[in-house]
Amino acid sequence: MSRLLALRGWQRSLVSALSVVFVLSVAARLFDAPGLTGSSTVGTALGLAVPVILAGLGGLLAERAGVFNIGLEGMMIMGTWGAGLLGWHFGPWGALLGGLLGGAVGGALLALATVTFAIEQTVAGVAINIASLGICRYLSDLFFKGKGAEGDLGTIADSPSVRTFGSRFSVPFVGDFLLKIEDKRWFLISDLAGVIRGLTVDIAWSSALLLLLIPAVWYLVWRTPFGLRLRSSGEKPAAAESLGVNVITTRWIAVVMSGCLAGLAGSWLVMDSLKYQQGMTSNRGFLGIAAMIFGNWMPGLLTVGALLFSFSQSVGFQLGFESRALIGTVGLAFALSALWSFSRRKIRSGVLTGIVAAGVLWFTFANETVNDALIKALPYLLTLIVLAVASKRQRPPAAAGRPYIKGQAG
Amino acid sequence: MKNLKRTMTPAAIALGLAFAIASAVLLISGHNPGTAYRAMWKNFASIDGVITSINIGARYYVAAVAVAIALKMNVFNIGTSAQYQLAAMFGAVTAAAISLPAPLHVVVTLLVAMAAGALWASLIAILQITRKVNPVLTGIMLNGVGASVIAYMMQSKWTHFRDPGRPEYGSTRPVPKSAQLPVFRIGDSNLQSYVILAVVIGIIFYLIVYRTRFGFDLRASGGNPAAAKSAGINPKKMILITMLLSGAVAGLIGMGIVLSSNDQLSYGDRFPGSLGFTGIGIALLGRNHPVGVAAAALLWAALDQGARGLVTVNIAGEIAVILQGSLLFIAVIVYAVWERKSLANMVREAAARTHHQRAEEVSA
Repeated sequence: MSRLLALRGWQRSLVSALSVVFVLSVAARLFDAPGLTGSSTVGTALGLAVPVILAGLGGLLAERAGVFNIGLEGMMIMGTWGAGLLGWHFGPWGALLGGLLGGAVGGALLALATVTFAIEQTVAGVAINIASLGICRYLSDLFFKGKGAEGDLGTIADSPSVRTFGSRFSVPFVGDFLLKIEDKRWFLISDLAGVIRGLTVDIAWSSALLLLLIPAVWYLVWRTPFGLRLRSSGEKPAAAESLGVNVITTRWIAVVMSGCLAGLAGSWLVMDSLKYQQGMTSNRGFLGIAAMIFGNWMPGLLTVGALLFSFSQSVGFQLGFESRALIGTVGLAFALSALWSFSRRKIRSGVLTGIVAAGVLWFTFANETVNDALIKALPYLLTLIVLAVASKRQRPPAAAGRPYIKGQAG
Repeated sequence: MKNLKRTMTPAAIALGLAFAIASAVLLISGHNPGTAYRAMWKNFASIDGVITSINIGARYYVAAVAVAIALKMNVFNIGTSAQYQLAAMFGAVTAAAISLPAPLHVVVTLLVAMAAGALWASLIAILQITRKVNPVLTGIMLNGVGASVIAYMMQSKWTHFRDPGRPEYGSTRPVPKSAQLPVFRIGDSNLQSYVILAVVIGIIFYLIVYRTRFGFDLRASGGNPAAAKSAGINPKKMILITMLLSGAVAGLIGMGIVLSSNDQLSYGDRFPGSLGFTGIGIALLGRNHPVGVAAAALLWAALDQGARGLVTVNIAGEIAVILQGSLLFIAVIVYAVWERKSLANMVREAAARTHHQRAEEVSA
């Protein structure tokens, strides 16, 4: 186990992803719900994860530079509006640009307040969340209401239709091969094939393009001189400044980019729904923050966190069996962790986890289907459970959340 | 008096700037700001306008106090959304299910609501204390879970929760007469007695935070956790108690809507869901101070009320939300800059004084 913990970040993400697939394929057999590892479930999950991942990456950029960005939700809202406007006029590329610009405006507002004026960061973020609602509704009244083609008129709450990319993206050659394996129903191998197929075949171009930002952000933050300056501004700004880093400029750039990423999440939503709608972000900005914290401020684990959430959402869209199987999976995971505790002679926590496992598994076997309300709660519950169980050795950036006033280095 | 001036000046500057921004937005979109503000003022400046503002302001105030208590010790209770809605549902169900003499019935209902809010909030504290889960994260997740709990309980199979007599929209059974909060008739409008409850909450908030040992510990933990810990304050216990208090107050946010005899008298589809986040904004605008928050809540509600008059002049009411948002945004900037400036002034004065004294000593 100590060797496992010594793995690098991305390797650890891979190992955890693989173990999740393993447990899922056990559950898919045990509870007779092949859809659990089916390519359609995974494909839907991947799409749903995109905006959460982007918001999370935005949060990561800002916080790695020392600014806690709770305004991601508002920036995403501004992004959806911008994407609605430019997407309506200029198609998919316009939607991407519009989201980027809308988010950038939000990011610039936050940077002005938190970096230039060094005010409480939570306060400024909350203010942006509140203001963005009003701004977008007011602007919709001016730009969307009664505009557009006949039968496709905008209102104060939504834009006229937006076009998205025509075709969808598939990694060449692998699709048919994986489909064959998936249909064989071999334990683990078919499940793995289903998962990989969901992740590689028939993906919306908007998802495929925007997912490239995960490695891009990683490269920017951990492999470029700017990234080094960014992280030092978030860890020890005074020291960074004494070494000649312009903390103020660095934080400004990071926060504006953070807004851009949140805005692009808005673009994705607009292209997915084919128009701007008020309230379409439905708290995904906050989920992004959750994914970021879950991922310990690292892009790889952040992605896993977002996928975990979106996967349980996507499972909820399937027939009732899959949700039941997912709950069973949670029970199995608890049982495994109870065994793990016993093997390490932690009797008390082993017994506690064992009781929870027994309860969850009993619930699964006692119920044929799962109540709709519980299915809706599952993504949130699952995230909480994982966070509570994987009790964190978390390490946020040291100066995150602390306003920095120029010249503190003395 | 000097103190008053010190707080009022930045607030006035912020208000002026916020109106300037809103005016610019109005001008750019081709409206006359004067017309807009006149319409807003006209809708507010009547007995009915003022009383509606006070009624709504009371809710906002309670929502903001719930957040402010936790913020006093630097804990962010972002989960008030679910806390107050769960509390309102359980409160409404309790009120309809039991029968007691009038004042007792109200008290029991309010206690149930407070307990529901506090319980839901305590989950945030427990996960933070025992598993070190980030409270902002827990709060957001529990908002999602809370919405599902409500959806679950309001399914038609739970007839104690969903009123089978009114199937057309989902709501709890009506609150009986003995559990209703009275309203005061003023002119043609009704002032809810819930306002008194809000004032009492404000006074208790003030007394606890500024006049008790616990409040001192609370502020100390918020101001400097390390120092507080070495002074023997148990941070885990403080987090739990703070969250319980915050959640209990959050439980009362919606009770004016549920219990006032001129209001909804049930929990259901028409129940407002955004009071939690509005409360956060108002707490921040009022700087977590009992009086500041009250002013902010009333101002916020007055702007809401005024905005409803904008229809008459064909302007989108959302200009009020822009006003509220930019006011909050600018206010916090102005506060911070103002504070830093007066701190710098104080340092400079003190330095000048000591320098002066030293010079006198040397010459003596």
